[in-house]
Amino acid sequence: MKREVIQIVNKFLALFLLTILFSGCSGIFDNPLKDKDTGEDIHLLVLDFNFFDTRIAVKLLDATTGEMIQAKASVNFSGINSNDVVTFAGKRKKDFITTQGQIEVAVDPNVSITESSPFQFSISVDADGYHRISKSFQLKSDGKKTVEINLSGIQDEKELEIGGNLETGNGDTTFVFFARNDGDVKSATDDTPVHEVNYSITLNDFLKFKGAGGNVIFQSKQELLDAYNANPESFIVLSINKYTQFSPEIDMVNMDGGVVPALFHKLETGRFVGLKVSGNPVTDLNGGVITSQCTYSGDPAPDLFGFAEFVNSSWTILGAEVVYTQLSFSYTVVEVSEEALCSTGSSITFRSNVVSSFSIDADIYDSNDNLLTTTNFKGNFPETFTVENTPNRAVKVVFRNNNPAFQPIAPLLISNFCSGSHEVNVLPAAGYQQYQIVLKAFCPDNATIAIAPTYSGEFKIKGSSSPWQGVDLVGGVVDLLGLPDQEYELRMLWENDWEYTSLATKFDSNGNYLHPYGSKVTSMRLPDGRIRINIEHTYSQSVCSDMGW
Amino acid sequence: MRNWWFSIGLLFFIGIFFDAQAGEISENDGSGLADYSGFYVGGQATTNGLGFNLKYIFNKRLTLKAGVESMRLSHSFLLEEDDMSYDAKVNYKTGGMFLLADFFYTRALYLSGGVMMNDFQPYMTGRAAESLEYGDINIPASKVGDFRITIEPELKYSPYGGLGIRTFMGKNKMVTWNFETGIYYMGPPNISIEATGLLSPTADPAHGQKEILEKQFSAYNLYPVVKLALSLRIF
Repeated sequence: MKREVIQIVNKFLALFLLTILFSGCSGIFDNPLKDKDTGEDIHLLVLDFNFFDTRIAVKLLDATTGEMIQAKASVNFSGINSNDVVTFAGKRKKDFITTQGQIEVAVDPNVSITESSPFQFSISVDADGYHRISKSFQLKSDGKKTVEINLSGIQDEKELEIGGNLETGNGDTTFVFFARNDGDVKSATDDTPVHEVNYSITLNDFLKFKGAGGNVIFQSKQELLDAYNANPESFIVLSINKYTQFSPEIDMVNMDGGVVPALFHKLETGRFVGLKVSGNPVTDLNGGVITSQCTYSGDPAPDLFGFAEFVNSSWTILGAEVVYTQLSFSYTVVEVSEEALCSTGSSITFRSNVVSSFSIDADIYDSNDNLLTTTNFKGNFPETFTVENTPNRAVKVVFRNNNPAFQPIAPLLISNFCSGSHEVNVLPAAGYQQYQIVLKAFCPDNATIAIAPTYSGEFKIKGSSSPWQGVDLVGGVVDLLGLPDQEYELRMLWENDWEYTSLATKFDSNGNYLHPYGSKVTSMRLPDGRIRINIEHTYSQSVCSDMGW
Repeated sequence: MRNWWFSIGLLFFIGIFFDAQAGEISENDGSGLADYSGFYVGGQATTNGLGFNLKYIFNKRLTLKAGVESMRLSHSFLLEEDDMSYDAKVNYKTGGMFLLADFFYTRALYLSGGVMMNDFQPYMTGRAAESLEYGDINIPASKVGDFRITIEPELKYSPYGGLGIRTFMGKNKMVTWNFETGIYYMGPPNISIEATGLLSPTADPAHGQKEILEKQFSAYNLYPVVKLALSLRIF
């Protein structure tokens, strides 16, 4: 009897223990890779494919307005290191098409960028409604770089109709037609143009020109002189479209047999529109030539001045005179400083009492308030930048007031741009609060891996006319300033497509998100009082296929 | 996993049934446990490691035992995911110091309970094995990065419950043999992630991946063990 009781107790105990065991472990049998709440696949990994030490944002600006162009533009990279330019998918690529006025590329991380081994490339841009432009760059350190290309709009050109005079040269038998074209860049003292571009045609060349019928216009010098004397005021009209609104910049210039970065200023670009003689258009120079001279009357005269040509990734100064053998000519007149630039110059540290990323544009002026170049600083407070290719002189750094989240920043005076460390304190604008955005992006066909991009983005109040505020995501995280109770848009550019994410800075007293959107957005209050906004966003663009995700 | 738990359960059944029979036989002997009380020292092999133990048999109902056990296993392998490959290594580290009391409700069958200061801390490390072919370029392995994932139980002191069989062997019954199954409650796992390069956001607290994984694996809070122990009476 006792044995039977023990056996019953044992079996009951075993059943009891098994029941406890299995009921307590019920969750163990659930698939841990399925979300406990939704049953959807969880993402085990969050990846950042930013293997790059150097990223280059290329901004295409209208030289007249300073705004980014919206026209379709073809961007071509050339030059020594152009083959090291890659997309964020690691594809070597030299040609890009954009309608957004900007592209962002990276540098092959296997390429070392140092002062002794700079990264050199050129960018040529063909944009609808703008003149083709080329510019060269030299990077001497890794980091986030922004380069600006200022394009002159065709419609912003000034069309000039230039009449000519007959002049007799030095008592010989040569006759010269002289056309004067005053430049638009004025002297600082008396508002007179500092440069001129003139044209001349010798009498012998004139006799070679053909008109609309394909025949020479004048059969003899006497016929030409008779025509001129009959109506000297309107005998010849040379039509030129020109543009003079370029800002100074740093470009690569061929000097003394070498190519070096130099302070470079396009004073004027122009192109031939038409040439009429006695009301008849000239259609063919027929072996004749038009000579153009440029002169500089400002004081002091630039180290180098003249016509320039962009060849083999650098500018070559052609001199003060060029000869055109074809009618469809164009030209560029430049001034260049021979002053050697320092490879690396002053260090500038941006500090703030807020946790935020920033993108600040700045114009660099010399002590006479002449614009030398422009630059961009993009990072997270506090961050130190060492400026490259700097002139060895005192400068004034004027920060553009184009970031609504910051108060205007006082100009920074630097006694020598080639040395020294300087600090810039940036204050938030009134009403702005600190937020942290954490972005996880997914591809539609792979929810198990999330992407936390290191990428440039832009941020602004949805529908507002205020400028986009540049932000810099690192591993999907960006600290920024925003106004409370606003709807914002965050956008990132992948080649030619913007990927938009909407969010609102509307929270309850505990920091919980109050404004559901298309993307999955949640929020929480951080220990330091800021609010973290978590965004899970599914890409709808070609980035997934490009990246092979 | 489900089959494994059933196996554990089955072991309980087999053990209980077997021990019930053993208990009958022992009782038929008419021998008394009081004769075997004393201090024992021995060793054990368990799924929580190898170790040694000290135990004191007070009487036929109660035995106290303490000991330490440890296990460290490692396995290196090539972890390949898409185009990436990591030299990975799993280090399985477990064990601990325990203090348990066995309550005998038959001569051989007992319930065991107590606590263990556990040393459960498995981790996995990986380092990019080679450069990554990424588009048209090769990303150096140093940039692809490395990772370390460590799992630690929430409880450092884990309660334990088990069921076991003990038999005495030898002419003078100076040797005991124990077979025991049980479970440590360790609490939900705490996961720590360290990573550089490609996986660095996985380790970034801002993304909360640690919390996500801890929530998903929170059900794994028990550590089942099977123990075999042999002890010799010292005095």
